[in-house]
Order: sequence, then C-alpha cells, then structure tokens
Amino acid sequence: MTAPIIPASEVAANLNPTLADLLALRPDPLMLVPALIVAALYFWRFVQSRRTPEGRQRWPIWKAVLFGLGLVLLLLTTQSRAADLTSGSMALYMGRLMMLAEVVPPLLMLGIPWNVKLDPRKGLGRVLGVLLDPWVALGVWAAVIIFWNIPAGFNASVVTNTAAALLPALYLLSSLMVWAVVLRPLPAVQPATIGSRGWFGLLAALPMMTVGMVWLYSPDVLYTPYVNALCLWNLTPLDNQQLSGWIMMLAGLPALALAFIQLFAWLIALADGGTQRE
Amino acid sequence: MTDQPIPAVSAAEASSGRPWYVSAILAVCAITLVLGGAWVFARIRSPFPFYGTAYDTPVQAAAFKGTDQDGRPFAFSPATDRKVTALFFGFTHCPNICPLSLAYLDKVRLSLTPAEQANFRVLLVSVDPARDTPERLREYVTFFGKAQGVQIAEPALSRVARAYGASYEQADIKSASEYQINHTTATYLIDAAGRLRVIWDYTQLPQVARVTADVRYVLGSAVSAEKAQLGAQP
Repeated sequence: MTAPIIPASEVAANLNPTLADLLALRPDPLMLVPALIVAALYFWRFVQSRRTPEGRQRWPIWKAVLFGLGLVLLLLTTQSRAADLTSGSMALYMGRLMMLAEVVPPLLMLGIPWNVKLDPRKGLGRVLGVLLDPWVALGVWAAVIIFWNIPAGFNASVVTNTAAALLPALYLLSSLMVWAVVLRPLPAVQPATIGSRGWFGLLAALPMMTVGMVWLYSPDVLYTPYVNALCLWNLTPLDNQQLSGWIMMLAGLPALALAFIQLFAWLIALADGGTQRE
Repeated sequence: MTDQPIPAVSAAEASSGRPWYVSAILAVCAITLVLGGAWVFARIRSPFPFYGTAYDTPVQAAAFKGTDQDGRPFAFSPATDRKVTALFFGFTHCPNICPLSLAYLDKVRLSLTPAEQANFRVLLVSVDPARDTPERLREYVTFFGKAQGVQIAEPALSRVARAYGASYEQADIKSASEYQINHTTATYLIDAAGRLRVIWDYTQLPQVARVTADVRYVLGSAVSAEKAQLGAQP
C-alpha cells in the first residue's frame, strides 16, 4: 500500500468529517471528463437500441441501471473531498481504492449489452482481445499491486511522485481488465472457458486477500507513515490498519466467491464428461 | 463495437492464433507500458527525479513570526530570505520521529559542500509551545547539529501549521505537563525563492544521499534562476 504523504491541510482542518464532508464536490477533470464521455456514449447507444425488439432484448434496462450505478459510484469516489482526506485515514484510503477496484468495475462490466459484435481480427476487437487476455490482465493487475503497494516501493521516486495522481486510475483500469476476464462480457474476443476464468479469478483475488489478512492480524502498524499520523475519527493507526484489512477482505470476497463458483461449475462439467455444456 | 454482421469466429478460432508464450510476451509488454508510462508521467511532472514528493506547481511557502532558540524575535520570510530551508513541525519531548528527523537532516547538511551549507538551513517549528521554551529548544536543536528552533504561540501556531498542511494534537494526556503530541511527520523543502518544492516523510530521511540530491537540485535550480534573473536585468 502506498502511503499518501501529500500535504494534509484538509485533515488539519477537520478531524471528524461527516459523510456530507466526505462527499462534498471536488472536481478532478482527469477522471471526470473521460467518465462523462463514456456515460454519454453508453446512454446514447442504449437509447438507440431501445428502438428495436432485438435491441431491447440485447440491452435490457437492468444493464443500463447497473452501468449507471457504477458511473455514479465512480464519480462519488473520484470527484469528492474524500480524496483529500486519505492522508488522515488508511481505512478511507483503502476504502476508496477498493471501491474503484472491486465495486465499480463489475457494475460497469455487467452493464455491457449481450452479443456485442466484435471482429477479433480487426481494430477494436483485436485491441480488446489483447487487453482482455488473462495473462495480460493478471500481469497488469499484479504490477499495479506490487509496484505501488509493497513498502519497498516507498523508496522509488516514480512511486512517491505518481501515487496520488495515477493510482486511482490504475486501480480502476487494471480492475476493469480483471473483471472483464472474470465476467466475460465480450465472448467474441474472449475465448476463455469457465474453468480458466475460475482459476484466473482465484489467482487474482489471492494476493489481495492475503494482504488483507496480514493487516487484520498484525499487532503492529506496518506502514510507518501512519505510525504517528493524526487519524480521522479518533481512530488509532492500528485501528485504521485493521479496518483496512477488513475492507480489503470484504471487498475481495465477491470476486473470490465468484471464482469458486466458476471452478465448481467447471468441475461439474468435467465430472459430467462433456455431456453438459456451459 | 458495431451492429454490422461479421463473419462468425468461434472461441476456439479466436484463441487458436495465440499460444501461451505469446500471451506471456504480451503481458510483459503491457507491464512495461504501464510502468514506463508511469515513469514518463513522473518525468513530465518533474524533470528531476525527486526522491521526495514534488509539488506539481510550486506553492509559495507561508511566512511566520515567532521566537528563536535564543529568545530573540524570529521572522521567517521565505520569499526574501534567499536560503533553501528544510522545515518540519515537531516537539522536544518527541520520543522518536523528531530526533530522527533532526539527526538525518543534519547528516544531509553535513554532506553538502561548505558553500552549499551556507545557503541551506534546517528549521524546527515546535508544536508544543507550552513546554518547548527557547532554552529547551536551544538545548535540543544544538544537540542534533545546527538546526534552528522556533516557538510560535497559539493561535498563530495552528494557522501556520494549517498553511503548510501540518497538523498536531495532544495525546496520552496524564497531566497538564505530561502528554504526547501526535503530529504529521513531513519535512518541507522550500527553495530560495520561497516556494515549496518537495515533501519528505520521515521514513524517507534515512536515505541521506537521495535527500541530499533533492536539496542539491533545489539549491542549484535556485542559483540558475538567480543567474537568469540577473542576466535579464539591463
């Protein structure tokens, strides 16, 4: 976990922020503009699809609702003052990152309509075929987790000088790749079987669950920038670390559960000897 | 994404063209792109690879007044002092962070040349003005080298701390004179033009050579800026 060591002027001003304080508007154009463009494109195509019965079947309202919910949560997480207060709370910091990694991406992926026609040999289909390759997704996700989150990374100039600006976007994008592999919303360019997706989900979830366990059960504060930090809501640094462990484990549970379900489905299919298909 | 019909491509066909080692090579390329992109992003923000966290746009450091460790009035005027300053907020009863910060900052000072040392100073602003009298501050800062201690009375202290993004709070209070203070642990590097350039957390200070490199760059860039200014004058 990369400790935010940016100025804590907002923390100094208020050590007991309310939910309204956390959600107060604080625009971040780097996230806001792309999110609004994606939202506009999505809902424009959604409205178009409602004109035909085939389109309505392919793109049901619940998918648009889930996508909209994902976007709202993305905007709440990235466009609010909570981003400025994370230096006073490791739990808030981790909660924000987990929202971007484990809540927003599955909602956005579930919002993708069925039967999106993509040619895996051309243009966007080819690019997505590479980005959603399980090896690529797992590699990028692991790189983000390892490079920006292990304590040794604190010594890297590139980490200290990019964490605050890049990490939320990196968590979001790499998690979108991971969740896309797990949920397989674009079968035309995602040939993975349910078994390989299950193994992939298990591999992708394990490092995060392990880190969460360590934080939860460690008797000491592991990240020194928080040892003597002034914490929000009168929590001790150790409280914050344990709370962060809970947040990380709870946030990782749905992905882990889904991985097990996929693995069991694969095992059942194996046991059936191919008499039943996915 | 298209609604036009395309030739049917089965999952098997889509996967057949990419053996596992090609996927592995693509993964390595993707990782290189992500890490390389982050490196480029960091260099665009700051051409010099600061060890500390660099300010995106240098902010003018706040001026303040107080009493120095010799009991004399002290005025910190970063815009006119023409010195590079490493400033941090701490207190003399601090059991670990403040002594370590002072010790490492003095090592940084000693690793500079005499000419550089003349343009660099370390400033400790006490967040415990009730107990940190000038006498106690003098005893404390001189023990750790050549830092300068400053006592600022409340409520001015809280305004100054807030201006820098620092914060502090009494903790573990046993009596009016027996307590600890939790405080933020950043050291702020202010250039000779009075602008905040870099923040180091105290956990970074043991890397003396890298902290010194940051200081040297800021000392050097201040000299270059001054020369440029003098050159521009008729």
